Amino acid sequence: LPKITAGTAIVMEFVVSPVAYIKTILHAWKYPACAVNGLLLGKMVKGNLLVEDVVPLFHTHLNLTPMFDVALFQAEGHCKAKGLQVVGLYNANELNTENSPSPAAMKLASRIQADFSNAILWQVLNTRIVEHPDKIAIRLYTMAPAKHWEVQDQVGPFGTHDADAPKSFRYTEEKEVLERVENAISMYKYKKLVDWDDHCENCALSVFTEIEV
Amino acid sequence: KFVSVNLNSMSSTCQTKLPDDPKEWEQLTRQQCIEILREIRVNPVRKPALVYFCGLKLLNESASSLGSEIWAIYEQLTIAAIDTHELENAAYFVLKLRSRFPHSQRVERLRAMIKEAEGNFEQALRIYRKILRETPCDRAAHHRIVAVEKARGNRQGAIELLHEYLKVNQTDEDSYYELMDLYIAEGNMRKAAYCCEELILHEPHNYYTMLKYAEILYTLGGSDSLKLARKYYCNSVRLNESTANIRAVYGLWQTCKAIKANQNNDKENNEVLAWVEKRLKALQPQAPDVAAMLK
Repeated sequence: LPKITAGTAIVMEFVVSPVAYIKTILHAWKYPACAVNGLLLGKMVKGNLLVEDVVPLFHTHLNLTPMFDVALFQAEGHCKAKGLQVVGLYNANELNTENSPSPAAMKLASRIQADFSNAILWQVLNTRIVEHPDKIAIRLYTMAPAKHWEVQDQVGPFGTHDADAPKSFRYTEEKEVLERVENAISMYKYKKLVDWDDHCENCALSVFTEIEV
Repeated sequence: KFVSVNLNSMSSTCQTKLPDDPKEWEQLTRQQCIEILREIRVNPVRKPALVYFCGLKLLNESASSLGSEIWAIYEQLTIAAIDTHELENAAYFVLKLRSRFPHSQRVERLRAMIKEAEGNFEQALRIYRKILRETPCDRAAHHRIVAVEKARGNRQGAIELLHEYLKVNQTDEDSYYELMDLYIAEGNMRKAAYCCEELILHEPHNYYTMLKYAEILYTLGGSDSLKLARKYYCNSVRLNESTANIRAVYGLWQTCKAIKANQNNDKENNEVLAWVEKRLKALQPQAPDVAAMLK
C-alpha cells in the first residue's frame, strides 16, 4: 500500500523485514520493566524504504548520549560492509500507558534524520505486545516538512528485498509475522538478543548477534 | 505497570551464575533451587521468572522440609508473582505470610504492592501512609510512595517526594540513585549531575558512579563539561581496569574524539586518545565488535 508523506506528493512505501520487527519486540520483551531503544538499519530500494535489521541499543538511561554516539559510529561502520544505512530509531517507553515517543527518542531520531532524510521512528505500543498479540505493536512516525515527527496510519507492508520480484520486494503476510513473534517469545529467543548495554557488561557479546526467528 | 525502586543498574555484579535459560530450569534439584533463592536474597537481582519457578517447585515438592526458611521464600515468591503479574498467587502467598506474622508492617507492604500492581494506587498509598504513621522512618514505605507516583506517570511528583525525603535522610544512597535516574529520564542533566556528586561523596572509590558522572557531563556538552567528563572517565578506568568497565573506555574514547574535533592541537588530549586506542586494540580478541569501530 503506498504511503503519502504529509505535505509532499512523494508516494513511498515503508517495507519492514520480519526479522527487524521481531527483534524490536524481543528487545522490549527482554527488559519488560525498562524503556528500550535501538537503531533501524535499512536502505532505499527503487524509491521505497526497507528496514532490514535493527541494532538493539539500551535499556538504561536512554537520555545519556556518549554510548549512543559510539554505537552510532559502530553501526555506520557495520552498515558500510553490508550495503545498509542507519535509517531510523525504535523506542519503547517504561510505562504501559506511555505510547508516544519520548522527547529523547524524537531528538535522537532527528539526529538520524539529519543524515538520512527519509529516516523514520518506530514507537512500540507496550499494551499491544501482551494484550493484543493479534495486532502490530509499533506505530510509524515520519518527519513532516515542518520538522516534527508525525504519525502514519499504518506500519508498512512486511517484506524482504528480492531483486527478481516485481517492485523488488517479496512480501510476507502480517499474520505470519505475528505468529513468528509469538513463536520466538515462547522459545525464549529474547534471551539470546544482545543490546549495547549487554555488550558493555560482557564485551564478548556482540550487538550484531543473529537471531533465528 | 509495576515499578519498584531498585538498583537495577547494579544487577550485573551478582557473582554466582544464575541459570538464565528457562530450558535449564527443569533440571534444577531441590538444593539448587534453595541456593538460587538464597543467592538472590543476599545479592538482589531482578529475575522474577526464575524466583517464581524455584519457589513454586520448592512449595509444591518439599514445603514441609524447608523449616523457617519458607517464610523468606514466601516473601520472595510474593514479589516475583507481582512482577510476573500472577496477582492471585501473590495474594495467596501474602495470606500465608499474614497468618504467620499478623502484625507485620513488612507483610502489609507486600499487600500494598499487590494493590499497586492492580492499579489501586489510592488503596496502596493508604497502607503506606498508615505504616509511616506508626514508623515515620520506614525507608521502604517512603520508596514505595515514590514508586506509586512513577507508576502513575507522575515523574515530577516522584522527584518532589524524593527531594523532601532526602532532606531528612541524606545518607540514603539508593534514593540518590533513584533521583538521578528520574532526573536523567526528565532530561534535567544539571540536577542529575548534582545527585551523582552526592553519590561520589558517599563512595569515592566506586568506578560506577564516576562512570555515570562522566556520562552526564558528556551529555551536558560544551568544552568545559567534556574536559571534566574526560577526567572522570579516566578516574573510572583507573578504579576498574577490567573489561567489565569497557563502557568507561568507550566513553573516554568518544570524549577525546569530541574534544579533538574542536581542538586538534590539545597535546594532553591527543596523548589520552592514543592511550585509549591502544587499550581498545588490546581488547579486540575478547571484544570482536571493537574491530568495526577502529577501522
